Amino acid sequence: MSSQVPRMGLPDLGVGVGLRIPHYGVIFEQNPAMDWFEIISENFMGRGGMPRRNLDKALSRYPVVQHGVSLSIGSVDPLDKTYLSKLKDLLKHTRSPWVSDHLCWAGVSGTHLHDLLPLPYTEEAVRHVAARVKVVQDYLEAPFALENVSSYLTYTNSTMTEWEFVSAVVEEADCGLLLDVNNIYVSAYNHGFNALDYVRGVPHHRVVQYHLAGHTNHGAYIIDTHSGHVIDEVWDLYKQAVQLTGPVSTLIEWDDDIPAFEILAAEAEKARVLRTSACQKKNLDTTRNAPFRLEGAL
Amino acid sequence: MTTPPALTLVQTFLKDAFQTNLPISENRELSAGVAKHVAGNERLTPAEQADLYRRQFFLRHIESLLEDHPGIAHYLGEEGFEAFATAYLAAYPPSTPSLRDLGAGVESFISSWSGIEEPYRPLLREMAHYELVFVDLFDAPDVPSPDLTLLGSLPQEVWLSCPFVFSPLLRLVEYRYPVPELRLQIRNGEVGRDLPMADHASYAVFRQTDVVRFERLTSPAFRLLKALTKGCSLVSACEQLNSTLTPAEADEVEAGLGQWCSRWAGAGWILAVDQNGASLDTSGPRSP
Repeated sequence: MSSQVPRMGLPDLGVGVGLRIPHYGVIFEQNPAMDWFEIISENFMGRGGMPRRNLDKALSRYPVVQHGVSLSIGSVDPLDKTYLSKLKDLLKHTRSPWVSDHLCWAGVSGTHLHDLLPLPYTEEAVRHVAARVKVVQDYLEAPFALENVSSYLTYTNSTMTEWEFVSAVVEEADCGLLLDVNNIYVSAYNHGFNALDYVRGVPHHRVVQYHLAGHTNHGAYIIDTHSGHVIDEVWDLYKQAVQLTGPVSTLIEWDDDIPAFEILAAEAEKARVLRTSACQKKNLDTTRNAPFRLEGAL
Repeated sequence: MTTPPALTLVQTFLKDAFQTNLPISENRELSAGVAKHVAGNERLTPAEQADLYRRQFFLRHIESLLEDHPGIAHYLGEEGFEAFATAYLAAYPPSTPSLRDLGAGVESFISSWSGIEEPYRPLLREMAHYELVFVDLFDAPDVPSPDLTLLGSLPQEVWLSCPFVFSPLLRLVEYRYPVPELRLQIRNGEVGRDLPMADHASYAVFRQTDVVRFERLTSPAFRLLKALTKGCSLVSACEQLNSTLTPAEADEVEAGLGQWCSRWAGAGWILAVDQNGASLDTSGPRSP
């Protein structure tokens, strides 16, 4: 596989980290080297005040990609038009090259649980989600990617594996896949499947972004806390995935017990080194395939 | 798009299960229902798996309420606030994608929740109101700064006879307790949990340079400002006010009027003077 062909027309931005408040001082005062930042869309939908001011500072310095947590693409409730309108407004402002959210449901019957709840892996759910992704993608007029979630339960009526489900959804919806390697590890631990089967089983040409993060192991189960360093097993999984996909925009998430920016940057550097070495092993071109342009942002 | 029946069934059931305030395994009927949908594994029963999400529901939302309502949390104490927030989530389940909307019903819930000691109820209701104003202003859409040079160059008769255009980032509030000052003291760890003295006061709460601030106003200044925000010109606002002023207050208005207008424009509360009254926009700040 060659990285010369941008996947789904989207650029490889390199390795970035999540834009988080405790790091604003360092980021805006020292402009540290970082390929790109990911923002949580919902944190900037208010359209004004300090959040918007800080977003604009980031936009003037770095490529920024929007990642959402509240779309609830798998819910049986109608899509929230107000939410989508705000998301599109923000997208116009950030010029994010793509926008992502989670392959999950977050509420129903008018209640929003603010969680990333797994879906049953059924044909019915595939059709339901894929149809809604098409609506969202058309409305946003921007490339859309779905992220696989960590899960702590499985359903009695599932008829396929999670990776078969994820693959079917993104293929039928014709959207990108944000592959969270830590989430694969967490769910594999919680449900006893082979994480490598998952990595091998998804459509690699649709992977437009990776997520990497730490988690909290409680023995009987793992919770995806985005806390601490990425563990070695997840790094290994990431290496294997990159060998299958080629170099893809990669992001380190760290949301609990957030460390000094230098520690997060070091984690990003580790990802960069691993990514390069994984690609070299497979003779994949690591040249970033479509430099992201800041012109037009803002 | 047709509604998928199996998906509807499982989501509707689990939505309720995740909002119960006791562990799912303690409810035999609920556990049996969960087991129909959730597979479980050799380490966790279906109820235990579902309970991970139930616990997260409360942790996440109580934390969010705590972040937006430090004043209420201070007077209720840690355990009291947890009980309050748990009961609140049952009465007002989160209904929008944004957590910033979560506290929208807090003020009215305080009016009815039996867990609040009666003497504290008015204080907490006012604190809730102020904290919601605070949340609302924090990331409300920006407004352009007033052109102070232009405002300063307007002839006096324009200032007197035309209505002002006020910033939507200004709220005028009146409280029986000094909740803006109390909340600040709570943030700084400077105040205990005893019921404070009532101290009726009027405030302008506003966002300036991205920071939400408050300013205590004298009663005549507050009443004048309130009339102005409703679309009155300065002359008609003063006329309305005149009949209600004590002699001392009348002196205060006469002496302070120029300074007040200058201060309100400088603080960004007055954005412009509408020289075409017909196109007056009165959709600005609302008073409580």
